Amino acid sequence: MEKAGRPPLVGTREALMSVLLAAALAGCGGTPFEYHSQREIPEGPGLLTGESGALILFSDKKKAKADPPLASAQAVAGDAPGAASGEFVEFREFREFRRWKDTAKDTPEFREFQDWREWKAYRSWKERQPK
Amino acid sequence: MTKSALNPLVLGTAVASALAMLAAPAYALEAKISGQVNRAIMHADDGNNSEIFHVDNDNSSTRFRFTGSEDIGSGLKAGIVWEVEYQSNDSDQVTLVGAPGKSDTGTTFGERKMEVFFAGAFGQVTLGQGDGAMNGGIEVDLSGTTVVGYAGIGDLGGAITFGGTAGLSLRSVINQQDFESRYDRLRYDSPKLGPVTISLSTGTNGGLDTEEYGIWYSSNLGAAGTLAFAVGFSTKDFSTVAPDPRGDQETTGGSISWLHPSGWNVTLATSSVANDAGKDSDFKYVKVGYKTGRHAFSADFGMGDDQVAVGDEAEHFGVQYVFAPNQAVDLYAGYKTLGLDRAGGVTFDDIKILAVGSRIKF
Repeated sequence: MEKAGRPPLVGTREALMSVLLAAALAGCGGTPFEYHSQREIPEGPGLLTGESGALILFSDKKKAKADPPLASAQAVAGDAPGAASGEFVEFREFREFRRWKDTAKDTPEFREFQDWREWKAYRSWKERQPK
Repeated sequence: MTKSALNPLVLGTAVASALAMLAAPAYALEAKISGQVNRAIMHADDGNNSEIFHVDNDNSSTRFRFTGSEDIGSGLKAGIVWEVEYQSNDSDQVTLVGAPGKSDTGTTFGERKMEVFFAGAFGQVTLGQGDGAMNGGIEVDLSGTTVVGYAGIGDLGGAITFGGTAGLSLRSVINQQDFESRYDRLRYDSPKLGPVTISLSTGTNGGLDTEEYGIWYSSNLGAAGTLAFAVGFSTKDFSTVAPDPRGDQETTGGSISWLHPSGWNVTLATSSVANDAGKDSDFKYVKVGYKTGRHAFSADFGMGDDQVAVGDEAEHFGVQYVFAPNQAVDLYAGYKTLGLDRAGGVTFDDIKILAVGSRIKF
C-alpha cells in the first residue's frame, strides 16, 4: 500500500535489506563473535555473585579438574598416599595448566605469561655466558 | 570364586574403576542462579497531565533465572532455562489516565523462559516457553544504550496515550513489530556457519499457530569493527481456533548494528506487518551512538506508520546516556518526545518522557 503524507526518510526497508545483504557478503571474512542482547541479563560478573556472574548451586566441573578418574580409582583402591604425593600434585597442576593454555590463548594473561617465559629463557642464557 | 578375587586392593580397584566410568558423564553438570534489578524514575507529560512514576524499566526488566546443563556424552549437552520477571509498576503499563494513584500498576510475576535444550554438532534444539526464532530480530543494537533507549520505544511509557484517547497508546502507534516474542514452541538453531546462524521455530502463541524463520549474523571485522544483524519472517494464523478476517498475519523485517573501533556506532531497523484484513503497518528506526570507556551516548529516531489506522504517522526522537562503572552496574538517563498525526489533519500534543535509573546484575 502506498503511504501518503510522510516525506520519505529513505526507502528504508529496501535500503536495510540491501545493507544486510552487502554486509553478509562483505563480512564473511570476519571472525564470529557471540552477539548478546543488552536487554538480557548482562554477561560477566555480578554485584553479589562476583566473577562468575551467577550463584553456582551445584557444579561438577571443578571436581572433574581436581579428581581425574585415574586419581579417584587409585584413592579408593588404597593408593591415597600416592594420590596425595608431590608427584600427583604436580601432575594435577600440569593438567590445569594445559587446560588454561588451551583456553587462554590471545588473552593478555597468556601474552604476559609468554613474555615471562622469554625473560626466564633470556636470564638462563645470560647466566650461562662466560664472565 | 577364588580367594584372590576378594583381595581388598583388587576389589577396591574394580569398584573404583566402575564408579569412575559411571561418574565421568556427570562431570560437566552445573546449575546456577542469576538475575538483575532495573529501577527508574520516569517523568511523563502528555500535554494535559504529567506525573512522576517509580517504575521497573521494561527495556530490561527485573528478573531472575535458574540455568543448568550437563554433558550427556556423545558430544551432546542437555540443559534447562527457567527465567521469570518480577516487576513492580511496569514502565510500559503506567498511565496518566484515571484517578491519582491509578498510575501504580502493582506487581506482576511473568513467565519468560521455561525450556529444555539439547545441543551438539547439529546445532541446538529447544523445547518449551521461550524466544521465538526471531525474537529480538528488530532490536539488534551495539550502542551500549539499549537499557534506556532502543527500537522498542514503547517499553518506557508504552501505555501513555495521545490526548488521553483510549486505543492511542504510545506502544500501539509506534511499535517495533518485533516478530512473535516468546511463546510455547519448538526451536532449532543451526551451528555457526561462519558468522551466520539459521533459526526456525514453530509453536503456539496465545493459542494461535505461529512460525518464524530467519538468520542471525555477528562478526568481528577487525579494523572495521563489529557488525551484527538479523533478518527474518514470521507468520501467525488468527484463524487457528475460529475464522478470523485477519487470517495469516505476516511480519518481515530486520535490524543491523555496526560498532566502529573508534566507538561510533550506527543501528538501523525496519519491520512490516500485513494481514488479510488489510493491515499494512510499518516501523523504521535509526540510532547513532558513541562509546568511550565506561560511557555510551546515542540519539535515535523512529517512525510508525498505519499501526492503529491507515493514515497514522507517529514519530519518536530520543537521546540516551549510560555510564557503566563496572560490568555489573549501569546508570542511565534518557529523554524522548513522541508525536502523532492522523488522517484528516488530526493532531495531538506531543508526549515527553524523561527516565533516570539503574540496572544492577546480582
